[in-house]
Amino acid sequence: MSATASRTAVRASARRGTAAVWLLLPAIVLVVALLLVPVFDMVVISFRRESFGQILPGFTLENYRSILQGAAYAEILLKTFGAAAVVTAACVVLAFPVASLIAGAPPRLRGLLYFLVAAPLLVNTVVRTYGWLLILGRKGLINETLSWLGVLQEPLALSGNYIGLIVGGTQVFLPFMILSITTSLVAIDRRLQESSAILGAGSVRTFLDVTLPLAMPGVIAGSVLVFSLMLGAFVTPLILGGTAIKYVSVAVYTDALVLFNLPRATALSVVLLVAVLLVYAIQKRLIRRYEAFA
Amino acid sequence: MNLLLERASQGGAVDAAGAPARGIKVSARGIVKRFGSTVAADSIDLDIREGEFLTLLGESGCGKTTLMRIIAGLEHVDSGRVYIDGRDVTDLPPRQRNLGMVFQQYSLFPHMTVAENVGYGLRVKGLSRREIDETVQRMLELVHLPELRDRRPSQLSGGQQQRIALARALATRPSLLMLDEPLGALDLKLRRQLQAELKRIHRESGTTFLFVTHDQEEALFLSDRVAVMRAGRIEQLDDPVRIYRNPVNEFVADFVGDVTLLAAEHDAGAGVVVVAGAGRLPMRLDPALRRITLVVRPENVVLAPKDANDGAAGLHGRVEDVAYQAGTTLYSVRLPGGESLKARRLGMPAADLPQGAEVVARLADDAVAFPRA
Repeated sequence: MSATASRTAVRASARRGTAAVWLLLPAIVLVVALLLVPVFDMVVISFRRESFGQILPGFTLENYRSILQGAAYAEILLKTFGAAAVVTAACVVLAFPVASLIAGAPPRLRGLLYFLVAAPLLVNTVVRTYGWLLILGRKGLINETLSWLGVLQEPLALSGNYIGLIVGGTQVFLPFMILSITTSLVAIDRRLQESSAILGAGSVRTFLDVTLPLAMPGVIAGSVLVFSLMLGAFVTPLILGGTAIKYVSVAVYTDALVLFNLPRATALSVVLLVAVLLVYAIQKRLIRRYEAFA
Repeated sequence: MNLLLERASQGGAVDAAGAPARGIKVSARGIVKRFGSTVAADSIDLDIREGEFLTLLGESGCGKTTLMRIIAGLEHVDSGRVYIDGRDVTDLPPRQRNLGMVFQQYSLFPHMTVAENVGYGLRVKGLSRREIDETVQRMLELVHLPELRDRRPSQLSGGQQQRIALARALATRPSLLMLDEPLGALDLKLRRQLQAELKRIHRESGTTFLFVTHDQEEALFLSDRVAVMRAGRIEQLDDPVRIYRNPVNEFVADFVGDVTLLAAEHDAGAGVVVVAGAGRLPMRLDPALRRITLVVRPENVVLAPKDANDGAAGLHGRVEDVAYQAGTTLYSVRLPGGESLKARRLGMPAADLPQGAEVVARLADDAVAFPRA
């Protein structure tokens, strides 16, 4: 009797399993067609040779060798990672006060604050980035104001370089960091901070000893997100950094669409992809360490 | 001079110099606190004596936790002053009040070991490593858990976490240790065990304890004095025996312990109290009392089987339920007027008082009575 019942249950769950596969099928097809196939194709091309834009048969490691051994590419990679690191750090510093404010707000107000933080994401990145150009450009708001005040003779170079890139990148990716840190802060029991205060700690001490360590999972998750998004960012570096800037995504663009060297462009992309996957792997370990005591 | 006069006029425990009288550890004067339209503290005066175990007892929402949080500095007052060790701390942040606090949810720092938790307050004070190590060891011995030094809070049971929280709170030698329903999350057996432990730790540490609970049994068992609270006011502040035996009003009588409240008439001339339909009880009460509510504790009731010559004293009724409660037996006696009178006697159910038996109830002692509108 019970054997029959359990067999029926097994069959029912198997049926549910089949139904789930059918329901997932469109998504699976999409992912395979639009993600896995192109990535596979990209990896394959990165091992090919080319001649005047034509991809030749046969495999080679030449593309990777030129990237990993050439000083020019080393500089590009280093500066890209450096800029992404600076943007990430700037986001952490700027996001913490905002996240604290949201986490401390009454739940009814929290929804509105979340919306305000996320609202810039509704504006297209290209539009937003041109907006920054209006502020940072040679004839932009800052330079015009400062020269009108007589502070400047020559306009400051705030765009077409790493300054523009970092300012723009920070603004674009800040919401991700804020939302990530807020999630961590909301989860912290207020009584832990109260305990710290009663035990004699001031607000700075409480922040460093209690709030920050417990918010680390959010900081790590947000950092990885911002870091990898910034590594792959293209519009912001191109518009605010300019084509002269050494940035991986800009170099990929130049290789692929200006020099028609698709194998090298894809090889560079694969290097970037591997770097991002590495960062995710490190994040997993770090967060697990912090979650061990939660 | 004006300031001195003003302070002096604020209440008994604060003398003309502005300092509370000797032996008073914490003094709250005229505390008012509103949250929107609810009044959490309605002009409360409270003195906590040096070294005593004082409990704020009341249902949730009566303002007991708010009063504690005001003393801790975690809530601001709308008006009133708080003195700790004779010092006006009303406008000081929690960290400058030298207090200890234990929450129901343990609230240990999850990212620190047990030893780091217990030593946290000492590290903040900037004590030397050796001093911190010694104190942590002493505190862990006080709560009988020295072997847990290097564990994380997540590796401890609820009871262990709460004892570590206690050790952490006592490590800084606070003027006052506050405990906000610290045993509420534990099961009954563990709660009993920790109650005994709390009593011992209170005795051994010599610290003044302020305890908050809604559990009246716990309050009576632990405390030197109990403040019964309702709607932002202290209804009665007394030692446990007086709280139980001499409640000041029906609310306190009903809230603390088992009780039967009986509507009755007092006949001062005859020296009896008459419960309509049930009978009369000889009793000496304030002659001014006429219509009264009689507060009858179950252990004050003596039941006897009804027999032929029972005409005069006692309330007549029928045993409706007999419940054996590990060592005592609780009888419910239905009176003719419909009231259910509770009676408790030591030992097993008596053979001559079975369910359905006609009985006569008398009181071993005079009961407390309140005027009835």
